[in-house]
Amino acid sequence: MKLKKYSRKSILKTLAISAAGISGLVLLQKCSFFNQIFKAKKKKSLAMLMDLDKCIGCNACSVACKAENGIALGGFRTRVLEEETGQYPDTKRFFLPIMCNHCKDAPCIPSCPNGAIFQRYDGLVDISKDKCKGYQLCIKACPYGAIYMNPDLEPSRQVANYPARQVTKSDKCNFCQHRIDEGLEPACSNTCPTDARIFGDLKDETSMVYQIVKEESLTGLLEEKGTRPQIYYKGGNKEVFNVERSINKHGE
Amino acid sequence: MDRRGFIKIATIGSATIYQTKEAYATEKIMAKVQRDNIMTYAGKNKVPSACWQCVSRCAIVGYLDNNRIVKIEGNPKSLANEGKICAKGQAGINQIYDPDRILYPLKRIGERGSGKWEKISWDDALDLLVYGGEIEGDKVKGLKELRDKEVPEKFIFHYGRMVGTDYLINVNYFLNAYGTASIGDHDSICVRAGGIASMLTGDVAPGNPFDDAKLVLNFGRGLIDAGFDHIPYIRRITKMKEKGTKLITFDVRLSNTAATSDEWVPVKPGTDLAIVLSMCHVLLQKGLYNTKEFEETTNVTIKELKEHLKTYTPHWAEEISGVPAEKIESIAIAYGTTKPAICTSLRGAFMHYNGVQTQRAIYMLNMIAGNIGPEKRVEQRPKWEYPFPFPNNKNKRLNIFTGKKDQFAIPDGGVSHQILNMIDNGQDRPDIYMVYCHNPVYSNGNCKENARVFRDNKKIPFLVAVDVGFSETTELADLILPDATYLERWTCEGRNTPEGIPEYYIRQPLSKPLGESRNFIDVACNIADTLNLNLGFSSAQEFVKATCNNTPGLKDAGGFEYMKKQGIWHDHNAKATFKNRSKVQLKSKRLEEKGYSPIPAWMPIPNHDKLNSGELILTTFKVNVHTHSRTQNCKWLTELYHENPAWINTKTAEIKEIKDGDWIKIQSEIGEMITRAKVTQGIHPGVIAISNHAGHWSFGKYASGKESPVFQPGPDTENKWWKNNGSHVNKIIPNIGDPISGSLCWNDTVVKVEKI
Repeated sequence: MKLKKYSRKSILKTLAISAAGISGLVLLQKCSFFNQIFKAKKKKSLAMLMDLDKCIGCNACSVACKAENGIALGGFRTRVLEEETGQYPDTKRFFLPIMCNHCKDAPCIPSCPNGAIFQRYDGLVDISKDKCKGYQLCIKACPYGAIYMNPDLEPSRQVANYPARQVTKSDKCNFCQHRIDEGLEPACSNTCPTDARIFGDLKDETSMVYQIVKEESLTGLLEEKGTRPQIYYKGGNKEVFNVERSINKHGE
Repeated sequence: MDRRGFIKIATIGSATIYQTKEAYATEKIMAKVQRDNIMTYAGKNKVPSACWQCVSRCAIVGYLDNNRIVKIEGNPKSLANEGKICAKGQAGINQIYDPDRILYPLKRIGERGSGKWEKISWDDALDLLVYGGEIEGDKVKGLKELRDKEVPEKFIFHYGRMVGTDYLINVNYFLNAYGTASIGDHDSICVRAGGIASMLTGDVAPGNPFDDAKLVLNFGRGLIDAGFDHIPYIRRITKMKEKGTKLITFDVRLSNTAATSDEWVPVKPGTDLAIVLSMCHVLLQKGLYNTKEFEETTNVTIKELKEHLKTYTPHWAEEISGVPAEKIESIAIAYGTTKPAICTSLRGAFMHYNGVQTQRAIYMLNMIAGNIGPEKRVEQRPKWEYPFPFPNNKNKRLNIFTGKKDQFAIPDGGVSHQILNMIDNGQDRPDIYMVYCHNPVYSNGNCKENARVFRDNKKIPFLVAVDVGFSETTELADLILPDATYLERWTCEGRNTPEGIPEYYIRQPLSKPLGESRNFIDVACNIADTLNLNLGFSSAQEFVKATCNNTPGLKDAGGFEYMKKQGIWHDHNAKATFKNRSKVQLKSKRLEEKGYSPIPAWMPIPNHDKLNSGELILTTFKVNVHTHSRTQNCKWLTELYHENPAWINTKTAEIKEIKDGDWIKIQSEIGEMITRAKVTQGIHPGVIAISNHAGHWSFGKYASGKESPVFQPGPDTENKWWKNNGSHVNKIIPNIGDPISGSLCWNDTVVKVEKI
C-alpha cells in the first residue's frame, strides 16, 4: 500500500514560507501552553509493558484500537509482528506487539514545522489535528513507523462528493488519551486476553509497570537511536524482529 | 409489520437498485460513530449483551452514542471471559454497519444467481412464503399448502450457527409446531466425529478442571488460535503456564497454539491415532496404570487391553506418524506419571477418515493413565426455566439427512453436508428449502457441486435465505429475508465457565435492526401466528423477558430488569460437584456390529500410505482473526487476514523449486486452485495447509472485492488497499465423509503441487 506523497517542491515551498518561524515554533511548543495548562497537574511518566511471554499474537489489540479510534483502512496505531526462527522441527514463532513508543526524546516533535506534535505533562506524545497540515515530515522522523496518514472518515468534514477526496492528517497512538483522562485504560490493554499489555505510570512506585520495568531493568525497541522509548518489553525474543519503520510497513 | 416508507426504487434495465436515505448507508453511520467516539465515555449509554462472532459467545458490553454503537468490550462481570474479547468480537461493529448488508426483503427477478433482485415489502415476502406464489413464471408452494396437504416435512430448515433461545424457539417451538423434522445443522463439517466418539464411549467428561493440570497434551486443538471458548481457555492457559504447567501440542502445523506450547510435535495428518495407541501401549508396558480403578470404570480388562495393544509399539507408530519412538515413549511416561494431567483434542485430531477411533483412543489414553479419574464433574449447565410448554409433536423428516443407506455406520445426528447430494440423487426432495445463517455452498466441500444443486429449481423449487450478508448461498435464493445481526436481537444465553460454574446471560439489542431487517425469531412468531400455531408468545423479547422472570434464583435477583442492566447472573452458591462415573465403553458394541474394531484400533487413511512422489496431504485450519466464513466482510479483520497462502515446508518447497510468495497450483481429484506459497519451517514436510477463511467469490467488497447488489458506498469503502482476496480451498476438497460418523474428512485430501 502506498501513502499519498506530497511533492518535494510543495514541501520546500511550505518550508520556505514558514522558515523564519520554525525555530520559534519549536521553542514555543517546548514551553507551550500545554505545559502551562498542565503545570498544576502531577507529573507522570506513562508507559506500557509488553509481556512477550504472554502475547499470543491474537491481534485483539490491533482491532480494538481501530474500533476505538476510527482508524481508516491502510493505517495502524498498533499491530503485532510475527517471526519464525529455527529449523524444522525445532521451529519457534515469536510475537511482538508494536505501537508508538511515546519517546522521552521523540524525534517526531522537532520534525514538525508546524509544531503540531507535543508531549503532555504525563509523557504521552500526541498530534494536534488542528495544527497538522499533512507535511508528513514526522513520518520520516519516526524510526518505528508509528505515524501514518489517516483519512478523516467523518463525511461532513470531507470535500464534496466523497469518497472522491478525503482529508488526511498524521495520526498515531496517543495511549487512548480520551480514555485515560477518564480513568480508563487504553483500548488495547483493556481487551488483551492474556494481560500481556500492562499500562501504567513509571513515577508511581506502586504500579505494576514500575515494579516490573525497574526490577527487571527492561528496555524498549531501537534504544540505540536515543529516543528513550516508553514501551518496555519483557521476555520473548524481540531481537529476532526487524522493527525499524515496522508499525506501518505492511500490505502487498 | 414494521414498514418504513422512504425507500425509492428505481429500475434501470432489468436490474433493480436502491436509492435510500442516508440513515441506511451503513458505513456512514459507522463513520459518525467513530468520530463521536473520540470525545468521551462519560455519560455514554452502556448495554450488556452477548457476542456471536463465533460459537464461544462471550459476554460483552456495548457503548452507545445517540443509538449508534460506538464500541464493544468484554463484560467484566463474566466469570468465563473476564471482561476480555478477541479481535473478532472487537470487530462486531463491522457486522452491523456492513456496507454490503441486506436491509430489505428481496425477490429474485431473472435466473437464479443472476444477481437481479426486486425489493419487496415484508407483507409480500411473508405472503409468498406462507401462501406460495410465482417466481419468474414458476409456481411455488407455500408453508400453508404443505401443512394443509399433510406434508410439512417438505419444508427443510437448514441452519449454520444457531444457539441459545434462537435455537430453542426455531426448532423446539416453531418448526415443531409447524410439523417438520426436516432440520439440518452444520455439525458434520464441524466436530461431529468427536461427538459420535463421545456418544459411543460414554461418561468421559474430565474429573479435573482443566486448569489444575500440570501437563496438557493437545492433539490438533486450536486452543489459542480459534478453538471453542478460546478466550476463557486462553486466560486459563496463560495462568497455568505461569504456574509451570507444560503444554505439548501435536499438530501438522506450527499453529499459534503449537508456538505457544512448551513443545510442538509435528505429525503426519491422520496419524494421531497411531501415536495415541502406542502411548497406551507404553503405559501398559511400564505399569503406569491402576488395574482396580481402570477395570471398575471401564468395560475392558487390563489383560484384554494388553493383548489388543501388543503390536502398537512406539517403533510401529514412528513408521506411520514420523514422530520418533523415543519421543512418543518419553511423552507417554510423562503423561502416566504427572498428576493431574489431561489430554485434549479437537478437529485436527478427529476430522479425518479415522477420526472417531482417534477420539476414542484419546479417551482410552485418559482412562489408562487415570487422568480423568473415577469421579466426573457434574455439568451444571445453566437451566433456564421456559414458561411456555413445548408442542409435543412426532414430526416426519425427509430421508436426506444421514446420507445414503449404509453409506455411514453411525450417522446419528445427521450428515448435513450430504443433504444436497441426497436431494440431487434421491427421491425425497423438499418443496421449500430455507437456509438460516448458513452458507453451505461455501462451507461444504466441493463448492461447485453445491452451487449446481442449489441452482436447479426442479430439485429445489423454492429456496429461501435468511441472512445478513450476501453469501454464495444467499445469492442463489429466490427470496431473501434480511435477518437482524447479533447486535440487534434478543436471546437467552448460557454456558459453563471452564471451572464448571453455570453462567446465565442475555443478548439484547444494542441497536434497533437497521433498515427493514428483522430478527428471524420475530418473523417465525409472525408466521406461526398466521398459521394459527399458537406458540404462546409473539416475539423473542417477550420470550426472553418471561424466561428471565421465571428462572429460579434469577427471578429473585430481579429477573428481566436485572438482566437488562447487568446482562449476566450467577448463582453464588453454585460450585463444581463430582459423582462416580458410569462405566466408560472402551469396547463398543455398536462399532462391533458394524464391523469396526470395538476397542480403538489403527485405521489407515486410504491413499495416504501409497502417495506418489511429490504428492502432499492438504489440511485446513482457522486463524485467530476470522470465524470460518461469516466474518470476511468485517473490514478490520479482513485487512489483517485477506489472502490464504499455502503453508509449505522449506525442504519440500526447495525440491519443487518454490520460493516464498510464488504462485502455486494445487490439484486434487476434483479440481485445482491457485494461491501463493508461504514457505516455512513450521509445517510437516508432507503437508500443504490452507485456511478456509479467504477466497469468497461473493459476500461483499471487503471479502471478495465484489460489491453485493445492495452495496452502499461509505467513506472507508474506497480505502480497501488489498487486491488479493485469496482462493477458497473447499473447492478442491471432496465432499466425502468418514465411514463411521459421516463427518467431512477435511484433512485427508491428497494433492499435487507445482509452481506456475
